[in-house]
Amino acid sequence: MRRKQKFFKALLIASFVAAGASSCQTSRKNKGSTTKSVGVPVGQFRGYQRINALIKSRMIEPGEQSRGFDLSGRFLGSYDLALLMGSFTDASGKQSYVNGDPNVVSMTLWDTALTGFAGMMSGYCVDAPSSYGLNVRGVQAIKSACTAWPNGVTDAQLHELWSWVMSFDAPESAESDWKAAILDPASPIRQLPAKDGVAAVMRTIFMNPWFLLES
Amino acid sequence: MRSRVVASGIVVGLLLAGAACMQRRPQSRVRDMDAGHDKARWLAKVVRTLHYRRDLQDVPNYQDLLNMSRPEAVDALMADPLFGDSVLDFGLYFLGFQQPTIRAGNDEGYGTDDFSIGGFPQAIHAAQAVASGGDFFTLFDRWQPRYLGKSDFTPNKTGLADGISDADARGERFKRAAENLKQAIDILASATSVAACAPFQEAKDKFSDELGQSGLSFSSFDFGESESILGCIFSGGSLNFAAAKAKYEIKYNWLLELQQHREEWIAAVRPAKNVMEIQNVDLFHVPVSPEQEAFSFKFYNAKVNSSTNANRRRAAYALNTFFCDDLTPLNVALPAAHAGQGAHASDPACQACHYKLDPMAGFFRTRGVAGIDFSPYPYFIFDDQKNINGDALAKYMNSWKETIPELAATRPWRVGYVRSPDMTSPKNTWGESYDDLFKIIREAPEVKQCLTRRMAEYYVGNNLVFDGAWLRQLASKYDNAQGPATSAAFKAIVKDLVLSKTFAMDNPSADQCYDFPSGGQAPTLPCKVADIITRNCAGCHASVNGSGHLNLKNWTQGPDGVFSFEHNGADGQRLAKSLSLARIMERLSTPDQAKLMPLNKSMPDVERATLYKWVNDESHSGH
Repeated sequence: MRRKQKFFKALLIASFVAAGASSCQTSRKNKGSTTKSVGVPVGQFRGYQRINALIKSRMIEPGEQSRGFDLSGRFLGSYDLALLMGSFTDASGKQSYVNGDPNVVSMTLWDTALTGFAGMMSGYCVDAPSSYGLNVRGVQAIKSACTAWPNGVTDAQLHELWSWVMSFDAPESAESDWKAAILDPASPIRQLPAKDGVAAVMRTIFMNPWFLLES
Repeated sequence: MRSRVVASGIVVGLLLAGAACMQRRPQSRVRDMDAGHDKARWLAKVVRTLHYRRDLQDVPNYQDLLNMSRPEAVDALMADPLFGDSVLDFGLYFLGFQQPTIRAGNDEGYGTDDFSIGGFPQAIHAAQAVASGGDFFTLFDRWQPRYLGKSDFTPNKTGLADGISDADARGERFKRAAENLKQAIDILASATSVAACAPFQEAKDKFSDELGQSGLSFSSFDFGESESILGCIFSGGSLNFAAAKAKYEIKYNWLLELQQHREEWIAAVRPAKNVMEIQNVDLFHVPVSPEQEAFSFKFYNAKVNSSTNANRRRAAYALNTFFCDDLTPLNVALPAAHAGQGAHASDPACQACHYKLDPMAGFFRTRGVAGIDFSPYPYFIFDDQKNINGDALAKYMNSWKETIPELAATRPWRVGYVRSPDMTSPKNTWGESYDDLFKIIREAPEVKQCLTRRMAEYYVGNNLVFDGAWLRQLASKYDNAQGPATSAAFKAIVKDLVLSKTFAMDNPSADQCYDFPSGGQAPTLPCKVADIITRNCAGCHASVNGSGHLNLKNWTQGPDGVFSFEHNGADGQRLAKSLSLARIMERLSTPDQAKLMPLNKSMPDVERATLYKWVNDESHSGH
């Protein structure tokens, strides 16, 4: 019975994610406004390879762990699923970018992979996982947020988490909107214990269109 | 459990908010780029673009860049050797073979093997030219440097038991490889018939296996020999065994030298940190030409020559890649006179493309399976393994012979870049060899225009529309440029592109232009076709009182509230958009030369196709 309940809850969440994804797609009228830049289209995912590379560059300590980092292999259990998350393919001997438009499947895969990643990150709230190689800046930012969670978390701490992941990808207004949602005293996210709360915070940054989509 | 459900609910809510945010993004606006965070965002985009996906925070002195003016920052980034990465990636994009990454695994140098970017040496060569102030148009040259593949040498891959040093293991492998190569040469020395091919191949395979186990890959060593082996197998023993033996003896002697100098040469191999450090095979003193053809195995593998397409696929690639001609089939090219007989000359629908496709295919006519040049052989093998000789081979080759007697007297082949279906037209550029093809590509103005369009797509955004006059102004920087001036022109165009208004926008509208020629104004016509109409049509169709009662100078709102051209019928009333566009489409695509527009004037195929497609799209837009 419990398994069934869990399944339906997962289904519900996936449905919401899918609904979110479908509304992310460009309308027919605005279809043409998806534009490619440096090989990857605006309005489409940046692509698996680039998101993976961004995470390595911004968030993982340089070295062996950074070299071997692979979101899909690590959090989805398969390297092949990356193809469905916006990826280059070599069909017919010609490279092309495929599955770039957000859809139910790709959004679910991204959410699953990045939720797993965010969950592992928040392990630093209790004890730094030895198999994990976040860089110093990230570890400090997460520990700082965990320690202050929920009522002591400041605008500056959230800014540090945001800019660590997002760098300069998003306009300031996007950050302000996001911080306001997190800092809102009525926000249910603040009811969560530190580990889950910080994981949820990280997940919302990852799933932000300014991070996932080409701009 | 409860906290997980709450967390999921929160995230779902935020995801939906994010989705809504995505919907808000198309509200484009040009920002004040010199203000704090926005300038940093612009700079981050410039760094990603000019330094190939590099993150702004990975630039050690990015605060210095932020303190510069935008043009100064662009100059500084283009002066950095890492700018070569984007030039390399652009070269691959232009050639239609952009790769998932230009890097090899684990960020150790570039993926220069034949199966990745090494398959397109012209892209590497051109990137090095831009970085060193050389000739960027080496991108269009037939002969290119032969670069050292990333896996051509992997020092730790010796394949022998533990306890043997790498150097000793390599020595042992080289020794065994040399023994096998000597055996293959001995077989060639006594070969008299095709029966020698199989044992020769066996000995050669053992040699390459040993060489591969040494850490030096076969690809570095076997340049150009595949033709000989294929020849041996397919020609019934017509291979010149003495010549092959001589070639292999040269390689054998080199192998002995390699044994002697191996550690010294190997020590010189370095993972390249930027394009200028990509090494040439000269490093190993390989006794083959230091050059290779621009059209590589990877190209031929992707663009096969089957017995049914007879090189048209390669021709279509060349027209689309270098001339931006995607062969939109318009039935305007009915060859009424001076066209002669082609493969599809009797069918106007086919001839719409084939009048230019067939002559382009002729440049590839001797290239068969895997791009092998079969001109020395009395047979020809296609990629689908069909083997022709005798009359069938003669028929295949003769399909490119000039059929108009007075023209055949001066040029035997109907091979070239064709701009007009009239084969006597001086607009067409003729040739017969690869050298001629690459010369045409280097010199044709259409290629510079196409190159500039592709640059705009790559550096600013694909699927965007750009004002044609603006692109022509940018392309004019290539006018008369040669040598170092070509890389200076390339950089100047890139600079203009990343400093453009379009580049600075978050999400520009795909059907709107934001940049126009200096001193120019935004056209009153839809910008996708404004330049084409202005140059080809609006001179005559300037007023409803003039030719065709059609004013092509303005795109205005009609009484029905729909935007269209001012186009009146015989009754003096403005035509509905759908009717007006249908008439225009008919005049753009009729084979009747008395009706085809522009009347008694030529219009480049690419422009006609662009205009036709736009009119067609508009006529179906419903507004």
